[in-house]
Amino acid sequence: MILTAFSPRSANHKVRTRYGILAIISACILLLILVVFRRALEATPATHMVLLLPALAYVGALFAKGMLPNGVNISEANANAVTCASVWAIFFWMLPRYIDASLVSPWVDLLKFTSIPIIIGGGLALSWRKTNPYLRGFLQANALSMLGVLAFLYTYAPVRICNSYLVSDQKALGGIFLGIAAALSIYWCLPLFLCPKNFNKKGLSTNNAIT
Amino acid sequence: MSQAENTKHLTPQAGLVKLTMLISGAVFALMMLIGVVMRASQGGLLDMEPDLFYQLLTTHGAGMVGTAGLSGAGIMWYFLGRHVNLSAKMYIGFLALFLIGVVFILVSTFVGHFGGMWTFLYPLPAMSAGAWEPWAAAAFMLGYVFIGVGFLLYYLAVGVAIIKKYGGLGRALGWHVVFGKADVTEAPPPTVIAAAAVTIFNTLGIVVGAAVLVASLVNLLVPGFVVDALLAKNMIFFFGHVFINASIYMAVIAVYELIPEYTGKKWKSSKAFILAWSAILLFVIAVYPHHLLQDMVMPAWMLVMGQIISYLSGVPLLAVTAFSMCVYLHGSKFKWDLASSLLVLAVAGWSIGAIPAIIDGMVVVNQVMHNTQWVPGHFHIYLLIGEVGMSFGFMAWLVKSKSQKQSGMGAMDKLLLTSFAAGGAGFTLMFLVSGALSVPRRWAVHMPEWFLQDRLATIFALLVVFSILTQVIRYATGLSRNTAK
Amino acid sequence: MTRAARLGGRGGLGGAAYFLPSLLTVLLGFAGIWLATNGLQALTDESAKRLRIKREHPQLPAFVLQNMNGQEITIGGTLGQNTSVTLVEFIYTTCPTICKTAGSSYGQLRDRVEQAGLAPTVRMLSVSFDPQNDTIENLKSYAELHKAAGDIWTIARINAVDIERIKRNFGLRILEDEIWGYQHNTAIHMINANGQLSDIYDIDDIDSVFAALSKS
Repeated sequence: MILTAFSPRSANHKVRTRYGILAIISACILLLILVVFRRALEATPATHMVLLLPALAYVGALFAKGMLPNGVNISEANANAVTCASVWAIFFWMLPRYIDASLVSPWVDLLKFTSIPIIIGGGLALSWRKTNPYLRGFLQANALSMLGVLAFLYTYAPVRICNSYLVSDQKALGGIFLGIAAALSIYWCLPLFLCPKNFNKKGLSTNNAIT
Repeated sequence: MSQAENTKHLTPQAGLVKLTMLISGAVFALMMLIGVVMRASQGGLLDMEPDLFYQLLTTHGAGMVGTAGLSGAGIMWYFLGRHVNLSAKMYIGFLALFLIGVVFILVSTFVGHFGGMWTFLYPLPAMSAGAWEPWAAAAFMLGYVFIGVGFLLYYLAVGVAIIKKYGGLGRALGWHVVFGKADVTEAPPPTVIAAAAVTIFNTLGIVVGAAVLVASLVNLLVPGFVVDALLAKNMIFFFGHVFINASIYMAVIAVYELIPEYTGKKWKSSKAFILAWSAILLFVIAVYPHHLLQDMVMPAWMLVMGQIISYLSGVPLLAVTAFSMCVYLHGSKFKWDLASSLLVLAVAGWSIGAIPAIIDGMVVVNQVMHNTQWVPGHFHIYLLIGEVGMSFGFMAWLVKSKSQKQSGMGAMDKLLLTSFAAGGAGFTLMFLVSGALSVPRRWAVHMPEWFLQDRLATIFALLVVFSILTQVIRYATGLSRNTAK
Repeated sequence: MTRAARLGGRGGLGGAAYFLPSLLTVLLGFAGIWLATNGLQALTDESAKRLRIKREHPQLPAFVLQNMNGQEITIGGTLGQNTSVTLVEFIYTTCPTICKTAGSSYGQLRDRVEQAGLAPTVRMLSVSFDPQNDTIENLKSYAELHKAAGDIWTIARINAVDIERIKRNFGLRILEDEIWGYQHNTAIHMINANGQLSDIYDIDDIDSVFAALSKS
């Protein structure tokens, strides 16, 4: 997702291995920081959901890139399945019930600090690019819709969703979700309008497309 | 080899599209019958419980909007397949999800007695006062969710195919010609430009629609999750406006691709054409507040924007399609048969329908007219005569046999065309007249003073139903004749 | 180009074997979420707690409270109840927001209980969890404000030493908010004649509470 080294094994294999070690070291440092400052990061729902959890996923992605600098040899069918598993994990960690539980129970907290890096971060880092483009598009569109739903509900509903957090913080989180949805839609859609530089002009045709 | 034969084999999923059009035609006919029953009931010709009226009205609205989308999608898929490689499996997925959605909606209205309108406007579905159970409202919205997911797959397939072939949506919209140095001969064909624009705005519409549908479903499950009613209304009308516009903008592709077969002149992507479609892309997204001109709490700038863009919206439509069509028709040896006549009639209906729409788009008029039958009047013009006309023109072309091609219009063709045109014009005119006389829309029971227009409308509607039913039957027999060969 | 080549390849879709891994993952994932949320019934901590209480009816130890007249009353425990059902909502009288509306819906419930002739079998309590700030006088003025006469509906406060036990037994989460008040679970806790916590309702869901009272 972040480092883009997926070309087949080549002469700069050594360089890539060196980057891999660097990635693993950074991942360890980041994980340490997150563990040490977890109480501060968990203090508000915004920092918990928008900083801590994505950072944990990033840790997993760095580990995956570091250990497997050439990616894994995975078929598209299996990549689809891994991506689906990651999406379920994201869904699980969007449930207010388990966000609350991770603040109270050390076991759930441990689950959070392991499952997110492995299933979400590592899983997506290795599978996303190999996932079927239709599935990717479908998940992206749904991610935007669901962020919209959460923003819609959190900013308006008087229901306190997490017993550990204040309603005002919940409202702030709703606003942040809306911002993320807007930013993601631009980040995902803008490249679709641009034509890649290496695009073969011969592919462009007038009315006789399939010959 | 004629151009038609030359291109027909280039659409690998023609069979799927033919099936789509058969389903669309049959559902159109059924929904029209429901329409006749409602008009007859309003005119005092039938005795119907208001509960049933609202269930029928909900079914008619949802069914018509969905079928307009389905038939438009079929047309666009067919002709886009001439230019890019489309995935048949994605289309099958789309069709399957669409039909599942239809089942949910029918169960919701006829088993669950849901009568909360096709607009599912909060809080009506959630507060039925006992007329229907919450599950019926949930089933209705779930039906919409299935249809929305189906369309999402459809547009993903279209978007991926277009980007693969043209490099990016910008090029597919022809921006490299208008804003770059590329020559106009490098512009993509009209079908691709239209498909790219529709894909962009309708995907946006579906994403917003999915959000408000899921939020409303959450509200039904957990009533404590109160929904912001004004925001919900904005999102619903954005979704609905974009979706129904997309259905017409997809169907018009039939005009771009079929009229050249009759004139012998290819429909070209000029710079004006490209600019007009980019304008349409922008306008369709920005114009939706003209549905909310009666909501005083809306920010004033949005309402002003809605009114101004309502004025502007007519321009690219008329410039791109109606005017160009007149130019192409002029001086060519145009052969009038049922298909070409319906397509020309449809463009005319679409253009004429825009006029009462623009009138209703003015804030001062809207505040008086928007709750009258003026509104169903204008949208029935461009949906019935426009979108349905394009769909049936396309269907007539699909089953056109070689011998008919030489002979043009038969007596039956003329009868069907006349009854569709006269019935459609009379039917919509009755709505407009009632609207001008301040007859409210969406009322199950009418006052005796309004019966005259209601009864006349019923007669005109019967003419339309006769024409459409006959055309569906002829299409079905035409299909079986073609496959038998 | 062959038809298969056109449909297959990158971006195409293969046969049934292609869909199998994803399909299995989707089904397993859904089953996991189903289990983790009690069949999609409990997405939040609060709803999970209510579901558990409804199923298990946990026994409450006896808590001695002080009412607005300074008398001692007891909730929970297995002995000494003269009414069959006790309803408890937790408040603090200086609450500027939610407790006010909570008070009004509680008042409506009281009226319905009275009209239905259920008064002898139902006791309604508004219990302050903030005994430091809520003096007997405060409780009295709160009672006057909401016309809680003490016959059906009584205002009371907990003993300061009981706060942790109360929070644990009722599953309360009390947070200090930014305007030196508290945010807490505003809910109606139903205690049955055996001193068990039998159900928890939303504060404005008085229809359900009334239906449950009429049944018992």
